Amino acid sequence: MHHSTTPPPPNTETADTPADLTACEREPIHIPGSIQPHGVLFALSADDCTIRQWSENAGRFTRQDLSAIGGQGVEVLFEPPYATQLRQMASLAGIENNPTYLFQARLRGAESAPLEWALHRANGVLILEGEPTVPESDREQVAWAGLVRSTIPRLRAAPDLTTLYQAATEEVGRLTGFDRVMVYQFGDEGHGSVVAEVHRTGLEPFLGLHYPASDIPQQARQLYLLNQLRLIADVGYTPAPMLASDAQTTPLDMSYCVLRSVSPVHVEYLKNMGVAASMSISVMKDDALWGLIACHHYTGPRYVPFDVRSACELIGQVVSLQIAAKSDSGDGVYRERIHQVRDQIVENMAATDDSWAGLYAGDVTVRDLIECGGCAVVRENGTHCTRLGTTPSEEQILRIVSLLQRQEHSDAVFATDRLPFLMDGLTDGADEYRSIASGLLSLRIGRGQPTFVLWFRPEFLHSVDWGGNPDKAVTRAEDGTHRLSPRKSFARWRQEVEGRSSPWTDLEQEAVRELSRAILSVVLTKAEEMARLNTDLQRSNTELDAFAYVASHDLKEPLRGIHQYIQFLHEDHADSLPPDATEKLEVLTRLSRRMESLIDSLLHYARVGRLDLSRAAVDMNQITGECQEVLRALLAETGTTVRIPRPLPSGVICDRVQVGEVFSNLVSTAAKYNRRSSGERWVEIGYLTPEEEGYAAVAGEDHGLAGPVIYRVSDNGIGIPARFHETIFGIFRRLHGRDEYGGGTGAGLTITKKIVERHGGRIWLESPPEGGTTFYFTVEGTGV
Amino acid sequence: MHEHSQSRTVLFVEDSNEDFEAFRRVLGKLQVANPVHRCKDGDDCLEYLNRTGRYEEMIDPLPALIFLDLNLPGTDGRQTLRAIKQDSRLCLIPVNILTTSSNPRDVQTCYEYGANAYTLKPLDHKELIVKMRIVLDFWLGVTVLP
Repeated sequence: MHHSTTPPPPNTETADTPADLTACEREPIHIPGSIQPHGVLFALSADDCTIRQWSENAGRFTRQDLSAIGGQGVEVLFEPPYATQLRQMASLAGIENNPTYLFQARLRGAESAPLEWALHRANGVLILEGEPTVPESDREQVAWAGLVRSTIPRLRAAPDLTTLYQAATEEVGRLTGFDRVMVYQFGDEGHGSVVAEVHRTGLEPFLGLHYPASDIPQQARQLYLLNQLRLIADVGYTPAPMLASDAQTTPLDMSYCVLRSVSPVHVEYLKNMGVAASMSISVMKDDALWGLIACHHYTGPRYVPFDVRSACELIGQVVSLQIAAKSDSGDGVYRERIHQVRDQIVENMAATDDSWAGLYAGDVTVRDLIECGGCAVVRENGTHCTRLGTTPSEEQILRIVSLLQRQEHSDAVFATDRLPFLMDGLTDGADEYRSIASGLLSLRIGRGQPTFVLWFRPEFLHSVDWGGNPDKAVTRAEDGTHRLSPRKSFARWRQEVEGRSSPWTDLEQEAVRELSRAILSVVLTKAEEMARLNTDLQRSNTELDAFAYVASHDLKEPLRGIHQYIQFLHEDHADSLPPDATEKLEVLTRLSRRMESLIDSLLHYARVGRLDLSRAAVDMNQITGECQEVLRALLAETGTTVRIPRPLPSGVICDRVQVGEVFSNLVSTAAKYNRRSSGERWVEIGYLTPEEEGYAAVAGEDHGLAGPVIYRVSDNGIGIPARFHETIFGIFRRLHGRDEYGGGTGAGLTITKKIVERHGGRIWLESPPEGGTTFYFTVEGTGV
Repeated sequence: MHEHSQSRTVLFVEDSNEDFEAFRRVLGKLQVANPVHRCKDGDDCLEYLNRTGRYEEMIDPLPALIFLDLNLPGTDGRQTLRAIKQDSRLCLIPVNILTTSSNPRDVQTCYEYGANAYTLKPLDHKELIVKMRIVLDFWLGVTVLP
């Protein structure tokens, strides 16, 4: 950072030398052994106010010979009233580590303007600092009333942090007259950025620039915690060394001294950037250094008198208090937004049939939930990947997910700000996308086939503007007037933060957890709804079966009355009825018989739905054998041969009576609907297992090796046109006249289908145009 | 047929006038001499058997055989059957279920309750005659009733 044009970090006493960084970090900047020469410093014994040390330039402020003041009382410095006042104040507890305004007074023998004196006690030593007064014409008078009535209320009234920072820079600028005043905020890992700025017109703005943490070494930060305000009144000063009469005197701890001389490295740094005077005020939050109000002056030395400094310190403290109050409310705003987004997402999910789509399909998506560069939702074992915003490629995302799945962390939420380092398997590929995905926050929802929501954050290096970017520094090295080597601190820091993002805050991780809980409750609600619908459906099916059963039963009663009374009429009056009346009575009888068989079929159908399946291991060979026995008359009558090319499976878990009915329905249908002459008709019963060739073609969908055995009943009959392949299973659907092909009610295939479906299987058929039909069915399905 | 059996009452519990008319015709054709009593529902049947209600004055012996329909208004056939078979006196009387219900559950329930036979009413009158001849021959001719 030692070059003139790089935008500077705030006033920091950097110990950053290209030669030896670690040595700089050890530099004891609180005991410099010298002061800034615009003022004068005396160190007094706390016991008796005798002079122990004095700055070499003390002689400049008086004609008195100060060469032998060591060991003398303060009376040698001031006229008695002042000396007495000093001695009185020296005993007060309030001056411990707290420079306190003493008085305005000339040193004895001085003819120049009086100095302003402040006194404090540190490490058992009294430190007396004198500074020249600033002429009235050259300074803003601190109107304490105005400070209380307007400045502080203005800071307090700031609606948000940005306004607060801006107000603070303006007020400090107005009080001090610095060319530039900035609010500089430290980031989570010590790097900082300029978050507010006022400057004289014509200066390059620094607002928004970031600086690596190492720009402000640790011991400087430590010092800033103690000393709330630092001033370098004239960057071009020649330090005035401290003198002591006793060579053994320990170096003076100047932590609280405004006149403290600063690190020559820091001075050089300021000079490099053209700063002539600088001041910084600590801003604290929760007892830690939050940031600085940093002031630069370019047009010459800037002496800031004691009262102005006090006012600035007060502003610093008010800002500290307001930041503490407002960052909670800033979190509150973020939290509020998170809640709104979460509620919207949950609403989307609840309103969509495909719940998960509610995560990414609406106006508001998971990407809006938290600050991120991009977001991805991965569903159904990665077959479904939706990307929002700037994300790695789908392929890379799937790799991340598969690594996440392999990780044994039980927590559904996983957060890292160093994705490229954390996952070994990613380090190679991660280079490609670390600029957009160094940070990963992932949420796993569900267990079997979990849905993953991934939020990505860009690499920190790529997400902000960097002050003193080393790439720029190289070109500026042409300047040649200063040590213009690239900022090693930056380079080192850059290595530290490469592949890393800004971290995921507790608030953000909690937001993701809350989202997870909300989603699960939506999913659960939906599952419950589904279960309820299923129950409703089941109940309504059962009720329908019950209705069909009762209705058909009740229909039978009057039907039998009609039927019998037709017969009674016929019996009792056969002799007196004309022949055509007898014929009509016979038609009535036949119709009522047909109606009865329809009702019986309906009853049968309803009963199939009502009866519980009694599942047991069944030998299909036995079932088909019994089926042939039952149908013996029909098979003989139609001249149909039943072929079974190879033994059928045994140990099939099903209801033997009902599956027997399936076979007999299909075989009798096959036997009936055939125009071939007796003896040429055949029915063939066979099956296919998933391992066998042609299974997938028949199954029509990819079951893999887990598919059920497919049974088939083929014939060489009349075939069924494709347009009827669905309707043929409808109840009482007939494709032919009721007296053709042996009649029947048209319920056989309906009942067959119902039995198959109750077994969790399915039934379908193939019938090529040249004739012949093959019915396929399964009985061991999945969801029973 | 046995002399003894011919004097005993046969009870029909049948709500349908048409069905009862059909049975009467069958009984006439088969020349069954036994007195026949008809109850129109289950409550009527139980009152008749227990000699309560309007049957209080009745002194006839209990019926030798009961033909019981299942679907009856009020106390239906299943409940009636249960009441009969749980009564130590009435349970001796054979109960022949005569119904249109071919529901296997009904069949099972009735036998569980102690039905002595379960017969389906055919639609066709001629079939009814054939069936009833066998049934009546069996109960009134072949078996020995209590």
